[in-house]
Amino acid sequence: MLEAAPTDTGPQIRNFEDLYRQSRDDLYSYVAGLLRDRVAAEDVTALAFERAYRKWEKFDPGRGTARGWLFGIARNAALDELRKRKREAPLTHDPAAAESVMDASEDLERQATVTEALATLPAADRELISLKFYAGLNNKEIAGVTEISPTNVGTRIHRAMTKLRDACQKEADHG
Amino acid sequence: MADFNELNDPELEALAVALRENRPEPEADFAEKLDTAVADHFPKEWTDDANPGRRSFSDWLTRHFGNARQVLLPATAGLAGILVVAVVVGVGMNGGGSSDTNSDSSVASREFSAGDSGAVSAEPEFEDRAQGNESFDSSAGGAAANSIEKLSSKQLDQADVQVVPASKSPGVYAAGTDDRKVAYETDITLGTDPDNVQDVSNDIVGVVDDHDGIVLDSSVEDGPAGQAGADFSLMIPSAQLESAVSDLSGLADLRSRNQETEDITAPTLTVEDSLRDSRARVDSLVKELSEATTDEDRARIEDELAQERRQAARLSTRLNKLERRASLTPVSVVVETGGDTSSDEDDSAWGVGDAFDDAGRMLGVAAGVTLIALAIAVPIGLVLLIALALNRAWVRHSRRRALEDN
Repeated sequence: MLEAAPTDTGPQIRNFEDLYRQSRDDLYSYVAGLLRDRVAAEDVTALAFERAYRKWEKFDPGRGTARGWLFGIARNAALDELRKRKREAPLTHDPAAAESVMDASEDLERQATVTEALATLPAADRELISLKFYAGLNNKEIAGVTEISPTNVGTRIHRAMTKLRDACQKEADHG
Repeated sequence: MADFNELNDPELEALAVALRENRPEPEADFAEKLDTAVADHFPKEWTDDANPGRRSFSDWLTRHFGNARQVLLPATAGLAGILVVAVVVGVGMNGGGSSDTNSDSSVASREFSAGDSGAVSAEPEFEDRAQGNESFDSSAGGAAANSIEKLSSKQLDQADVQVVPASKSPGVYAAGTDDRKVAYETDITLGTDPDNVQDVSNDIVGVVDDHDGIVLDSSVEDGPAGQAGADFSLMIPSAQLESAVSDLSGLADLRSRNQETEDITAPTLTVEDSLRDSRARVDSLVKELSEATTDEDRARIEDELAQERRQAARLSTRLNKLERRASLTPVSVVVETGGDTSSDEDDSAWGVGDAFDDAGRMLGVAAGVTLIALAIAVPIGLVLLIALALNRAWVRHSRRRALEDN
């Protein structure tokens, strides 16, 4: 079961277990960066892997990489989580959650500043930054996941990073 | 792996490195639990316990039926196919397979009920005539009314059953006029084996004798099937026509019976009036002749009298013919061999032709049921497809909104 899923980037993904091993931490990082909630990130990550496992036979390598496909599933689950939050109780900014995600970076002032600044960005920018620098997807994969054109992905990531730099500057000034 | 140099800004590149170095990592407990779940292929216990609130209906379908689209769609299509086949078979069993007798009898019934002046409706007519209660519906009078039924003896038996109540109804004969003159003409075709032609011919003559009829002409020919046969030209008293035809029809397999009727009341009355006038004229001329005083007058009156007497004779002959047409019915009986043999054995035999007929009927029913099923399923399918597409579009839109609003 779960054999032969070629990828055009990284090591060969032959089965679901390969995909899981290569994507677990990246996927969690992306989801946590997007949701800014550790518990929700764990739930969504687990749900995404379970869905991917159940639908693995349906995966078509001709339509993209296995990682891109997996991140697409995770994105839908994460956005559904955001929709659910919006319906139940809108979450504007949750510093505590962000801190819980970034506990390991508390000892470094700059890293804390980056974390705080990232939390102030819109979810769309946060998602692009998470996909690019947390999950390590290339622009083509990000384009496949977010349904943005690959050239536009680069521009929007650059714009998001510029916003992040400005936000970091503001955080530093306030600090 | 992302290429940070593509940012083309050392400050942004440094920021990217910082992001990467401090990306959120899963807790060890969670990672261990997830590893175990993957190794165990997401067992039921995991699925039951893990984030149930975030599961969708699609997750439930996938979990219980595998890949929902790959399993449910063929299953639904298969179920629909089975339903269609079941309906087709059901309809075929009720209306197709056993429709042999039903459809046949319905055809026979239709033919007989439609043929008001035909064999069936002729029976009440004969009854009325036998009772001296002749009457003829003006709508059917005058012109000859034809009805030809090509029937097997089996079909006729079924038809006879339906004739009985029909004979109690007025039919085309309205009660009232007693002086109607109706002429009949009947053709009967019987089928039998070559060996039986002679016997059937003898029986025909016997029936004619029993009903005080006359055999005008007859010919009987021996030979193989198709060649052997007999022809009879008969005159049967109209008063006994019904029973005579019935007896003749029972002598062999009845293949066809053609009954023609013609209302000859009007021409009969006309001829009667003309004859009465002509005779009155003759009487007048005779009286005139007795009173004639000159040879010239006598010669002229005798000449007129001779002409009038010839006219009266002609009219009398015509009247006799008309009355004979009303009182005696020409009946033509043909005995055939070969061709349409309708013995009981053949009736009950089910051959390749019947199989083709049944198959054609079944295919027709199947096509009809399929068409009806499609007429129901296609709109429902279209509505479902539209609903699915709308739902998908709405979900995509709301996800995009969720991303934009956070």
